[in-house]
Amino acid sequence: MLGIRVDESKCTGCRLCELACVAAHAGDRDTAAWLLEGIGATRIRITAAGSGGGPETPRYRVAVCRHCESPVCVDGCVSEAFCLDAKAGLVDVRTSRCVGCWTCVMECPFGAVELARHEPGALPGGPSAFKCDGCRELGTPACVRVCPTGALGGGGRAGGLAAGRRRGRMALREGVE
Amino acid sequence: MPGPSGARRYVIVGNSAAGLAALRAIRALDDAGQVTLVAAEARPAYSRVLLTPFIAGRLPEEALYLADAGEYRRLRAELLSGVAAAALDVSRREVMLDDGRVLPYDALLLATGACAVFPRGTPVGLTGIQGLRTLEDARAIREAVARRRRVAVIGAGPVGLKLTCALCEAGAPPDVVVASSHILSQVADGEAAAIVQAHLGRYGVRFHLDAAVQELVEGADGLEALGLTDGSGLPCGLAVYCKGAEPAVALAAGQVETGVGVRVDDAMRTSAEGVYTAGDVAEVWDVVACRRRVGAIWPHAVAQGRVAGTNMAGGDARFRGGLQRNAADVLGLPFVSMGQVRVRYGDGCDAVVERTGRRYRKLVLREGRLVGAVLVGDVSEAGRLQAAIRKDEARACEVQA
Amino acid sequence: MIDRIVVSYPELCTGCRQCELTCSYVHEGVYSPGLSRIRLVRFEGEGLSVPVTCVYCRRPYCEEVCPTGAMTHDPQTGTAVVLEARCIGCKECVGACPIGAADVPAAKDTAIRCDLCGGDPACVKACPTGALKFESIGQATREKRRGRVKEFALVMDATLGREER
Repeated sequence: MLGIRVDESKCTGCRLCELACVAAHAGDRDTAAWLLEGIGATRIRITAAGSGGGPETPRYRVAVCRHCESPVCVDGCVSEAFCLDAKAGLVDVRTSRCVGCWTCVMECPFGAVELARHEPGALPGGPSAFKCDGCRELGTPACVRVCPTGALGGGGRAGGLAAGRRRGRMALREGVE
Repeated sequence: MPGPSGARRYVIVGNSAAGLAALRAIRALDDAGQVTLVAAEARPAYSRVLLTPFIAGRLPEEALYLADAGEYRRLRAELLSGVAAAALDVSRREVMLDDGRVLPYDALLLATGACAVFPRGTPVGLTGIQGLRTLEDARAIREAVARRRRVAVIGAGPVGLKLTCALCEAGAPPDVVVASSHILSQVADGEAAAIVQAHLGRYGVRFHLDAAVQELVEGADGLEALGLTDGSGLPCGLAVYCKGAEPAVALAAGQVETGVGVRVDDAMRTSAEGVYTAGDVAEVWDVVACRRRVGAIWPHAVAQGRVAGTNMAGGDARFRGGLQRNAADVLGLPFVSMGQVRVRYGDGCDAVVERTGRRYRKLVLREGRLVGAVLVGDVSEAGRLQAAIRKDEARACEVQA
Repeated sequence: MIDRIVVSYPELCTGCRQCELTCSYVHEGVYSPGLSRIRLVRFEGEGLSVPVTCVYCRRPYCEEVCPTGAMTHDPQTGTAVVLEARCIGCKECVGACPIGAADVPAAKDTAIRCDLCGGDPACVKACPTGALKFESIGQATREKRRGRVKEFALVMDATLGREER
């Protein structure tokens, strides 16, 4: 399944993910020009976490959609713009249905949704919601591909089981010679 | 008792957010059961919250619907349209409809919603007086705007605020009559309210604070003017009362335990076996107030409907608890309010306030735990704050309860 | 606090999956390894199988990263609890767990974690070879140390040409 596994403790705030996201969504536009103009259109946002907490407290917050399986944004959406594609394992936003009510922003515990004016396909007048779309066509999301520290990994579920395999191999080496 | 074929019989009274969510949840688990949906309004489920963008002219009527006739067919729901449930007998497990039909049930969902509330003495039947709950209400407002009748909004809570914005977008900035000394009195403090009010004032909205409607002046064309308690008068062809909504407990009264709404546990079960409730009529545990409350907001209705439907069909789901909250785009100025927003001397709470220009941020803490927030201008952290409120306060409630 | 957990002995594990089937049955009412809290990691080529389950970290990352407080523990007993009403299926716990013991299975939209079956783990009883034991980590470590010392002693004896004692 698609989706992004986030380890905030590894984030150094380099923001390559934001650039990759914008570039990946350039569409028909010239990528360089779009990057220069469109950094506000990133669907992943890195912010400083604030100075409290001990040395192991993450320094940066990674606000990106986790494509939850029981998504609160979908429950809260008054126009069913947000919907769960269970097969793909993604939460989608149908921009044409969004009325810009800010409920999704109020619901998402990760701050993954932003509202923007002039979003393509949106209703005239208000802002409309945009967020990570899982980079369906790419397979591995763009941000995951560029993250230099492994703070972003691919595949929410696969990531965890891979860790299990690591433990398995350690047990192999240790106990069974 | 299951029906003749042995399949479970589900009855859902109410065809809005909660009823539809329950229908979908039931069908996700039970393909064989028989589902009957009793809909007082003769139309598929639509989003009440979208009525204000509809009034604003941003949405056509078709965009309000959440399900079409095709979906009810695909979900094999028998939709009894334009029929009301008149009585309930939980010992016989039957619902009596207003056309005389009797529906026996194995599992019943009361999703009857709420009705607009009017102050005592308001002549509700008079032309020119109405609430804002239904599509009919919204059409009447649009028509009044089209005919250039002056609209007044009575009440400045979240619904009144959204209606005010919609009327501005439609080119008809209204008069707003507010009983309290500031707008949004139940969901915001004076300072946040003042920012919102000043912003709306720039679009031509006229506020009448500390005032109520005292007199209705009728003319040849219907309603003509309102006389307020502060002595002033204003021309008005349509007065829309946005003074809250009362849970529609009539069907449940005497059959299941009710308070202000129908009382439920976190599985959305009422005091009667096989009877569930969800949505604006349900009284659920509020994680900040630490008591049962009716929380008539859209996210609650959908989540509760889903939990109820899942449990009706033999699954095991729980509602995570209510939290009063509202979000709105006030003509380009975002506004969010959550939990407990007012602090009174001696209630053991502190408030942390930051303000720069039109950006306002207030956090309310009780014994060091976040219990509420008001955000104006920049609401991007609202979701994180809600998570913090729930994470802390739910545990505090468990200790208290 | 938590004293005993399910400790696995991979060298005794045959990969029979009784633990997965029992766990999923006890918790979800179906036989489905995907819904089991204990999972086998199998190395078919080597013919080896390693059971992985929650080891009850003293500082559980899964609980720290959970945005809603769904991933938590019973304050009295310390056993893991997933408050399903609060779980949104975001899979932060899956990413945070260093050994892959927390999961959001495909057939569920909320997270799962070993809850030690209230003090009498079903997987331990179901395991036919004794590859799973419900024991205190202190105990396992003592035994492992004793085992290592014995191994070392044998090596030393052989190195020094002593007879086996």
